[in-house]
Amino acid sequence: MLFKLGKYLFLHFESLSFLRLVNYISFRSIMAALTATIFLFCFSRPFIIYMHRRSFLDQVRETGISSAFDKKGTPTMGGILIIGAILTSLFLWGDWSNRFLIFVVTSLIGFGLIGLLDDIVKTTRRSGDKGISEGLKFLLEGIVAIGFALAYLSPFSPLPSSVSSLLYVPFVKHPVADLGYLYVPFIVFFIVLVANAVNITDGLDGLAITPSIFVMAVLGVFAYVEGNVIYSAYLNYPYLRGAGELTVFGAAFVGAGLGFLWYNSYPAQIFMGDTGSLAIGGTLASICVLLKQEMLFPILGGLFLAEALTSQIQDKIGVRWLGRRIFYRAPLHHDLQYQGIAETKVVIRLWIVSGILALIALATIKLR
Amino acid sequence: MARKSVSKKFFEMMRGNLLSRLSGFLREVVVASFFGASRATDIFAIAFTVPTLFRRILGEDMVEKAFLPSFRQLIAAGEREKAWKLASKIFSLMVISLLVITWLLYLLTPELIRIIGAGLEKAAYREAVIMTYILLPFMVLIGMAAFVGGLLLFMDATDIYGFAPVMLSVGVIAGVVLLSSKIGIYALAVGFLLGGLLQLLIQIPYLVKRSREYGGKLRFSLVVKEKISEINVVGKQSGWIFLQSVSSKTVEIVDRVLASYLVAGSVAALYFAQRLIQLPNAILSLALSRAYVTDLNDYAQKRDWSAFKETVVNGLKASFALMIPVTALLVGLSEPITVLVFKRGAFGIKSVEITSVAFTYYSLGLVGIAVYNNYTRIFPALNKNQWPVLTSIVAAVVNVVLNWLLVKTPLAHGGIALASSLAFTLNASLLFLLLNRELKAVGAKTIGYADVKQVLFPVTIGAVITGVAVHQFYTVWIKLSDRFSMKWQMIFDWQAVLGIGLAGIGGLIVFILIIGYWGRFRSKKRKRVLLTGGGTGGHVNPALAIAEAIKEREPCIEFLYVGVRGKAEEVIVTKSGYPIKYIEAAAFPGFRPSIALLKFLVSLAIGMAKSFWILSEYQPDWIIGTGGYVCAPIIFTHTVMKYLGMSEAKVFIHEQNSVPGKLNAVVGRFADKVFLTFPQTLEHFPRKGVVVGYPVRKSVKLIAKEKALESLDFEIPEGSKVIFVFGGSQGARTINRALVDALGEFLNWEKEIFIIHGMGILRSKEYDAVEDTETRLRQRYTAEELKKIDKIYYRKDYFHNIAEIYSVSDLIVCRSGAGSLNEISMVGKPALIIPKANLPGDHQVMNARAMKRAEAAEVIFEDTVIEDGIILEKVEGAELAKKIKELIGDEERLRKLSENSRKFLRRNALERIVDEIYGEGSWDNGVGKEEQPFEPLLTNSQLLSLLSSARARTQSNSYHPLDVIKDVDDLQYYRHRAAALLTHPDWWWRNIGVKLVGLLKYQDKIPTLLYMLQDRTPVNRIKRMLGGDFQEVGFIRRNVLTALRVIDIWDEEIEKGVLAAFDDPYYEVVANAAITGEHFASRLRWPLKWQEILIEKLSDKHLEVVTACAMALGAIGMNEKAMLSLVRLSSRLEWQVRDASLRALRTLLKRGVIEPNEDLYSALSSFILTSTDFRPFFSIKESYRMVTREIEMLLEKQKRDAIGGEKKESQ
Repeated sequence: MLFKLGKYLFLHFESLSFLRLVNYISFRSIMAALTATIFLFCFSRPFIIYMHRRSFLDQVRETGISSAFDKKGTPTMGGILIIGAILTSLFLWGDWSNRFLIFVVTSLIGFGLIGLLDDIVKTTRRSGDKGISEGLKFLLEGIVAIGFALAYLSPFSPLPSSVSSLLYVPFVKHPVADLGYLYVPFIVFFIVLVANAVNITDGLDGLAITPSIFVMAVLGVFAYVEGNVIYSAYLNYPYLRGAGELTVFGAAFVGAGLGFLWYNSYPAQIFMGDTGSLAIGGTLASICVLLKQEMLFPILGGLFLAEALTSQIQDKIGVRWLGRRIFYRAPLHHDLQYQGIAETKVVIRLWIVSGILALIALATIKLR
Repeated sequence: MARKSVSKKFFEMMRGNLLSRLSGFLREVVVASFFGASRATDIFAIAFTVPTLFRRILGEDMVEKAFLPSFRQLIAAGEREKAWKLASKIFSLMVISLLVITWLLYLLTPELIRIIGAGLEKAAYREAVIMTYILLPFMVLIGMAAFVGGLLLFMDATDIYGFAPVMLSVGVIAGVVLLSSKIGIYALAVGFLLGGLLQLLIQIPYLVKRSREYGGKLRFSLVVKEKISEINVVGKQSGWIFLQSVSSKTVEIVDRVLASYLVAGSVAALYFAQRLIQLPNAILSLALSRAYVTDLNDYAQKRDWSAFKETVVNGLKASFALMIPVTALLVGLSEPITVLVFKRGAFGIKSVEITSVAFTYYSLGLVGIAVYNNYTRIFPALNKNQWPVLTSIVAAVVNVVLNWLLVKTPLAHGGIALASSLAFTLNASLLFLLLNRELKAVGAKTIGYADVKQVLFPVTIGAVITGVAVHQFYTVWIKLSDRFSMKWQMIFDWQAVLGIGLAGIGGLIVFILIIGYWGRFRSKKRKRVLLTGGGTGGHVNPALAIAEAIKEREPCIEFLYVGVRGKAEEVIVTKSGYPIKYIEAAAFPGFRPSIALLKFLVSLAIGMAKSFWILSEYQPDWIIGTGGYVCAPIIFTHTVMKYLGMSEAKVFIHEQNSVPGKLNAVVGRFADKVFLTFPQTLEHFPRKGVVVGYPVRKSVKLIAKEKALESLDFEIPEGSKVIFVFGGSQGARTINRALVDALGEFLNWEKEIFIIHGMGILRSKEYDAVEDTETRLRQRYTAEELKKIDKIYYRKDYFHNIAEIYSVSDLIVCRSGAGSLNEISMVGKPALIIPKANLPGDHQVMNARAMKRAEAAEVIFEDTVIEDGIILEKVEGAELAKKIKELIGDEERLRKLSENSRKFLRRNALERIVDEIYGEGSWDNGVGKEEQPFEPLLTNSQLLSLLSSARARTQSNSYHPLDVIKDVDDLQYYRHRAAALLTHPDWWWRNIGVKLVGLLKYQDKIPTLLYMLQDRTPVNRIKRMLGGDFQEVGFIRRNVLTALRVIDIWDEEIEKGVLAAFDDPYYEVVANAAITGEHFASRLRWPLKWQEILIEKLSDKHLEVVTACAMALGAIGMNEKAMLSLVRLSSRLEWQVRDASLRALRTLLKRGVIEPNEDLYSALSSFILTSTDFRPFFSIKESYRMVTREIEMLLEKQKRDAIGGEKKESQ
């Protein structure tokens, strides 16, 4: 809104020419981040108290790890705060005529709603295990992802149709393949995978949000580069007109994430819940797709993938099929805890790992 | 021998054809997309005529019809050498003649093409000749491939037989895709050569391998020393086949000659359309005919002409019911289908236009082809092979004439297609007439319009309307969708796909509506009742009893029974004289995705389609279902029809068991009334349920003992107690075997006892009741003992005069199906019942429990054991004998049981049912019965969660399952059920079984648990690669150890087993072995050995193992050595290990195993005490807990005071 207003004002009133600032992505990004953080500082406390009153409290799953016990009763669904902060900030600073923004916000809200449904069902049934069934969850995620993928390949796509179905791989200059319509199942698989990976990672205080901030920061840089005619030509990326708006989105996300971490750091006063984790996962994945960086994600979000893989291997191959444990416990963070590392230590160590991975991923911007 | 149902055969046939047909079809699609229907493909179609002509004659037909029968006879007669010599000879002859013919054809080609491609232009003519030259060797290759394939089919290599034709298509597609850009249409010819070669080559390794197994070898040699007479037979047969093939091929050639004069692409259009029509033809009509006619040979040999005729008529009906609607759909949608299949690449709008015209006219012949296919298979059964050949020749001649006439009409090439459709129909009609002649000759009834009019009339009208509707629908769709025409047309034409889909569904609905309402307009004279239900006699008998009762009230009423072929109803209902029709149905296997579920859905769909037919034709007033999965299709279909106003029957269900099966519970929702046997069942059907009891057959009633004794055909010594043992009409293995074993206990009881045994009529491969019993008797007892046994024992497979047997018995031993129990109750006899376990809802156990609670019977549960690797339900003979002796010795108890047994039955069930059906009297649900307190048995997983939470609540040593389950009988049953799980093929259930056996403290199964712990049968390689090890997976072995701790019994065997578990490759097992050792520390026999092993395991790489072993060492350790090895852990990386070691040292000190001394004291300081972990302490939560605990205590106290005060006041 401020973007439109500023634009209008500086175009029509000579004296307000300093408002030209709103044309700069860097300025809007910084403002968006600050707005989101301030939003969280303002609304977190009342939200936490409200959730407590309405008893939307976290329900513990039996993991067999003792420290989890004391977390019972922490308010959940903090994802609403994150989404709210991002939307508010973008409402002020975003360019809503930009299709990149529309796509990302749609998937943020879509996945957020799925997560919200799961959270509500969990709290009303008073059990950590009895959310909506796995099948239904995958079905809903699949529907959102298929919608996204079809729109992405349709004429409404923010990407030019010559680029949209190409597959890029890190460290390689040129697209390796044109997947055509096979791109649809690929995108759907990717988005659902990442959304659930973030969901699984969200098991310890602050474990999901900080790595997502890292990932989003790196993606923001990529968005800036790919949305810029000169840089993209120089670094040999496809020029995606308007992708720079995703930098603003990324900044709003980083701001909201920092604000949320304020309350979510150990010991947490609020959890993001599935509302937050699915929304974050879905958003990260969609941005990767929009920036043609899907294959970068295994490096960039390596932590998320490791969490998802350990969890799936343990459950599907080990417990369900072979009848034995393959890791001591799964996912990864529980395994580390089981080996006797305190929760805070596990969290900070995994932050470090994800930070290193983000740096490596950032390096690929030039290493091609 | 169990007969396969027709639909099953149908699907098997379909699968066999499907792969090769589909690949061939794909091949045509590729060809069409590369070349379209153009002059180029015309040329190919013409050139291809020559090799295919001789391929048919010398290839498949000759092998299948002429050669293989003789070969088979020789092999069957054991003359293998001769058989293989025959094969070699024929093979050689065939190859040589193929070569010679090829050579001749090379000379004649130009002339031949001039004839076949008479209408071609000059340039095209030349191309056709070249093409033929390339294609000719294909004939030799494919001829050899067909011969080898035929041999392979005979040697049971069906998979490769089905797969080889796929290679042909692979070759063709490869040729076309790779070469067409370079050599154009010739690529197709090259592709065929390549494909033929591939098809031949892929079969050769199999041929070598298989023929070795069949003791022979295919040689190429013309010199055979001895003369083989069979060769003449083969030659003679080939003559007939040659004649038939020539006649049909001539037609094909004429078709092409005529078409070549027409617009370019006409020949190819006919070719592609023919390919297209072959798909429904092959899949549906061939499969249909093969499915229906296999029994015909039997009937013809038995000269059972009415069955013969019925089968033929059924085949005809099925052909009409299936093919007429298909024809309508294909005609209505011929254009979009052609678009969908072929339109891409070179195959453009023009090609679509001409191909779809041909396709339309070919479709019209589908019904004729289906009937023709049926009939050609009927005549061999009558040994009248010549008729089909003659009629085909006649049809061929007519076809040629019609071609000539029709091609000149505006139909053009469509006329050619129409001519062949008409010829097929003529052929079918001729065969129809001839068959009637044959039937008349043997004195059977002929088949007439009346036989099929029920099907033919409505289906034809329905199909015609549907066809028109579909066509209109599609036209509108195209107009509509053109406005939003979509860009996405890459591989498929989405517009056509969606259009066909929508039109198809719409058409189906229209068709169903027409058929459904048609029945409503027919007039009805008499009231009609449809009976359904079955699977076992327990479901069939009540239905028949109800039918009898209705008949008594209203004699002129029509009945129809609907059941499943091969089940109890086939025998019982047929015998009782009611007309019966068969549908498909299967038991519901549960929601878990599985092949069984798929089969269930398929058979439900077919069953519902047939039910739809039966219901719309029969239009019943009442539908009476007596349970079993058989009812489901009928009642589901009826419900749908009722909503659509197609049927207005009333539905009544009778539920025999106390717990309804899964399907019955659903079916009951759609019924108007549900009649129940047990009042407990009311909770499942609160609104519709009416408790009526069990309709017992009228013939079962108590007869005076003297009179009953007289009518028996065997002697019962006076004064003996008579015991009647039986396991239902089919027989029960458990009971039969237990009885045989028990007989030994009664050897010297000839004065006191006499046993009558109904063994059962089941004679399946798995269990033959009579055979098994006789063998077991002979194996178990000496001749002398048998003689003694004969004095007290009489056996028979089945007693038709069961009322007499009941009347003379003093005790009855049987299963607890609702039927048996109600009959026993009717005659009021004491019973000893052995319920069958693991049935849906455990209903036999529930029945037994109800009987037992009413003190009307005694119960023995069967156990599940593994004997010689086979899983068996078993009752120990000795146990049975003991129970019998106990009961017959106690006169008072028998009298009591008998009295209560008589009360158990709800009498007048039939009257109540009939009253309810006629809507007259309604009977009070509770009349004359005391309600039994009732709680359902728990499922395995419910039981597991209940018990494990109970155990978690109590102290481990004071836990006992009886505190939770309360009832001793239930506990006994749960134990047996848990033990049965131990033999489940799925490890998941075995694991649950292990947990349950532990939690139920079923100590008899400890040996089994120990066996499972040490079983080392490996899993398959894939699982091993991923980390799996044995069939008894890691969780099972771990839980066995947990279970041993729960059962809390320790002896030498157990200790050995647990010690052996330390060598287990899975770390959790080792850790649990240590924990088990710790648990039983005070009872160990070889503590030193334990100490040794534990110390050794302290260097294990798994954290969990080391921790557990350290703790166990604290509890078990015997001397300084333990202490030293524990101290050595002081600098281990993981803090839990150090922690455990410190605790263990404390335990050792407490137990006084080691003395506190300075050395130890200083050694402790060497422990690294920094830690990577800590326990957080939230003081606010602690304060909260303290406050709440205080308030809880105060509240408790208030309550106690209040109760105390009341008591005082009342005093």
